[in-house]
Amino acid sequence: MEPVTLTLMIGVGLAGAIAFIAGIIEDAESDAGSASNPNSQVQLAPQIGHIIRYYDKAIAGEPPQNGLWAASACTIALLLSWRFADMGIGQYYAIFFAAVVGAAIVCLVQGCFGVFAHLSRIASFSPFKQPLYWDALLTPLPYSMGLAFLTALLLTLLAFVTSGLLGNPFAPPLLALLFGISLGSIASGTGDIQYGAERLYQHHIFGSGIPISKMGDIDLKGEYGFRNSVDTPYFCMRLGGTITAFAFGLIIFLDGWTRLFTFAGEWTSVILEAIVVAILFIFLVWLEKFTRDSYGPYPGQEDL
Amino acid sequence: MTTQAPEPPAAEEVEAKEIPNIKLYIVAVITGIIGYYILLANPNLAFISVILAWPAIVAGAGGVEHLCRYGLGTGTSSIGYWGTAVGATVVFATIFMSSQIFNLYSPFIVIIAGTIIGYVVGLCAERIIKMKIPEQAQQSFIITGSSAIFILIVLEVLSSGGVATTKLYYTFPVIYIGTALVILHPYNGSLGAGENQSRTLRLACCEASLITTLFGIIGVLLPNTTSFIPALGMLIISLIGFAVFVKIWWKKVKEDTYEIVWTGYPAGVPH
Amino acid sequence: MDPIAAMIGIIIGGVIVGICVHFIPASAVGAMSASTGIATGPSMLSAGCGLAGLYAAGYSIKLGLPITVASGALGSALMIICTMLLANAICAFGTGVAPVAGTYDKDPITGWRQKPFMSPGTDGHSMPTTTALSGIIGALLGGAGGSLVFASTYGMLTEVTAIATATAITIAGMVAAGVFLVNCVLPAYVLVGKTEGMTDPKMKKLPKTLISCIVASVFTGVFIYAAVVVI
Repeated sequence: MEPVTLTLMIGVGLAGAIAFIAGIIEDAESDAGSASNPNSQVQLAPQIGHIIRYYDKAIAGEPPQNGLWAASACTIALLLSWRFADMGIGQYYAIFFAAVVGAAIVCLVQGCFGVFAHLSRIASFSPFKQPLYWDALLTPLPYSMGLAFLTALLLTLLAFVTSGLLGNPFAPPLLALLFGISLGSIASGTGDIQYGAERLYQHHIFGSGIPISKMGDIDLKGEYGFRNSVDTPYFCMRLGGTITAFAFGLIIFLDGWTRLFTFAGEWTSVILEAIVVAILFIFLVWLEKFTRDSYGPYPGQEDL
Repeated sequence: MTTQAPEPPAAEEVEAKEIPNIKLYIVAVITGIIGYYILLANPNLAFISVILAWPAIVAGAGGVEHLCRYGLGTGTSSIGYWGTAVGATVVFATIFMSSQIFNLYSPFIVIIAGTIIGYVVGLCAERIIKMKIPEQAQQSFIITGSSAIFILIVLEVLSSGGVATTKLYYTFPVIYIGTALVILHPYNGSLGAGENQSRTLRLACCEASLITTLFGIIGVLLPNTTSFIPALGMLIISLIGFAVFVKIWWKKVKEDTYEIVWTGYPAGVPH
Repeated sequence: MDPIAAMIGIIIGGVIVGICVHFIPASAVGAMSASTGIATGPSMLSAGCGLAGLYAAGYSIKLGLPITVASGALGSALMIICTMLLANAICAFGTGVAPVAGTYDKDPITGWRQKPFMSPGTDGHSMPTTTALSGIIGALLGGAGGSLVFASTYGMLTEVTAIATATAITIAGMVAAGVFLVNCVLPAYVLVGKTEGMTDPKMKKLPKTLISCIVASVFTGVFIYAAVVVI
C-alpha cells in the first residue's frame, strides 16, 4: 500500500461531491421523462380512460440508459482529449473540454431516443383514443436533454477522477459504464419511489402504499392546468433527488474513504467496509423502529 | 447511396402478416457474413458493411418483441442486457484468438458460439424453468446471435479490418451497452396495446442507424489513422440512413396514432 | 493463475451470481410502495450492485485473488445497504409508510409484527430487518461471484497472453461484467419480477436456477478458455 497522499484525499472528496450532484441530476432526469418503474403507471393511465399529457420517455429502464450516456460520453471525451493533447492543449484542460463535447453529443442521442419512445408509445395507445400533443412532448424535451447532458458530464468527470486521482486500474469508459449502471439502479430503487408513490398519486391519501386496484389512476392536474412532465422534477428533487444523491455519493465516498487507511496492510479497506456496512445496518434497524413508533399501525388494523 | 434505402426495410415491407423472426435472422446472418468479408477485403468499404449490419439489429429487436409479448418474467431491458452480454462476451473473447484480431473464420466462430450459448440458455429456460413462451430457445439464440454479428462488424470497422491496437479496448463498454440498448429499445419504446411488428422493426432500423452514427463519431476520433476513413464512411452512411428510416417510421406512426394535435386538453375532464 | 483453475473460477463465479439474485429483495411495484423490496427489477438491481462490487474489486486486483474477492463482496454490500437504508428513508419521509414484509408475520430477528402496519391492498413496503439482512447476504455473494470471474479472467489473460497489464484488467472487467449480466437474468425468469429475499417461498425454486446457471456458465467458461488458451 502506498502512503496516503493529499492527492488521494482530494480525490475521495471530489469523487463524493461529483457523485452527489450526479445523483440529484439523474433522478430529476428520470422524473422529467417519467422513466423507469413508475412509467408503468403512466402506461396504464390511458387504459383506464385517463388521457395524459406526460412525456412518456421509456428508454429501456434507467440502468442501461445511464450506462449508455455515461459510457459514450466518457469514450468520446477520452478519445477527444488525446486529440486535444496532440494539438498542444494541457491534459486537464483537454479532459474538461472533451467531457463537455462528449456530453453534448450524448444529449442529442438522448433526445432522439426520447422522441422515438414517446411518439411510438403514443401511437401504441391508439385503441384508447390518446392523441399526440406536440407541446406535451416539446416542453419537457429540452429540459430532459439538459439534465441528460449534466448526468453524462458528471459521470464522465467522476470516471476520470476515480481513474486519475484514486488510481482505479479500469479504463475510464469501463468505469463510466459501471457508474452509470449502478447509479441507474440506485436511482430507480430510491428516488423513483417518491415519484411513483407520491407525485403521481397526490390525490390519494398520504401514508399508504398504492393498492393494485388503484394503479393507473394517476394525477392529471398540475399546480395550474393539466400536468406536464416538466412540473415533476421540482417536486421530486426536494426529497427523492437528494436521497438518491445521498445514496450514490455515500457509496463512492465511503468506498474511497476506506482506502485512505493502512493500519492492517492490504486488508484495511475490507475490514473498514465491513464495519461501515454493519453501522449502516444498525441505522436501518433504528430507522425501522423510529418509523413504526412514530406512525403506528395502519388505522383499523391494530389487532391484525 | 441508392442502395441503402431498400436494404433492411425491404425485409419487412410485407404488410399485414408478421414475418417470422427466424427468417429475419437468416437474412441478418447472410448479410453479416457478406459484410464481414467485404470489410476484410478492403476496410475502406466500411459503408457497405454497416448497411449489411443493420438487419442484425432488426432481427434482434424482433426476438425481443416475440419474447416480451408473452409476458417475460423479467423486464424488457433485462433480456436485452442478457442477449447482448452473451454476444459481446463471445466477440470480445474471440479477439484473443490470434495476433490479427479477426481472421477468415471469425464470423463463423462468433455466430456459432453465440447461437449455441443462446440456444442452450433458452433451452434451460424452456425445459428446466418451464417458462410458457413458445419457441423461447429459438428466439433467445436470435437475440444473442444477431448481437454478436453486429458487434463483430462494428469492432472490425473500428479496427479497420482487424489491426490490433491497444486503444480499441477503450471502446468495448460503449459498444456493449449501445448494442444492448438498440436491441431492447424498439419493443420497449413501442410497448402498448396498439404495438405491431411493422412499426417496431422500422423503429429498430432508425435506432440501428442512430447507434452506428455514435460509433462512427467514436471511430473518427480513434488515434490510429487507418480507421479514419472506414469510420467516416460509417458516420456518413449512418446519418443518411437515419434520415431515410426516420421518414419511413414517421409515416407509419402518423397512420397509427389516433390524432395528432399541436396542443389541447383531454376531452371530458373539467378544467 | 493456471488456465484450468481460472476456467473453473469463471464457472463457479457465474453460478454464485445466479444464486445471489434470489437473496436480493426487489420488486418493480415497489416503486408505488405496493410490495416489499427495492423498487426495481431483480436482475437490474443485482447488476447494479454487482458492478459496484466490480468497481471496488478493481482497486485490489494486483493484491491477489482472496483480497479481490473480499473487496468485491464488500463493495456490493456497501452499495446494497446504502440503497436499502435510503429507500427506507424515502418510504418513511416521502410516502409515509413503515417497512413491512409480506411473507412473514413476525420478523425473525427483531420479533416485530408486520401485518398491522401494512396498508390494505398492498403486499408490504420497503425493507424490514430480516429482508435487509437477506439483501446484504445476496450482495456479498453477488460481489464475490463477479470479482471471482474478474480475477480468474485476469489471471488467465496474464498467464497465457502477452497483453499489457492495464489492458488485461479492462478486458477482464468487461468479460466479468458480461458473465455477470448473463447469469443474473436467468434467475429473473424464475422470480417473475418480484422476490422478498430468503424468506420468499420462491427460494424453493433455487435448484432450477442453479442447474440453468451451471449450464450457462459452463458454456461461457469453456468458450472463454477455448478462446484464450486453445486456439
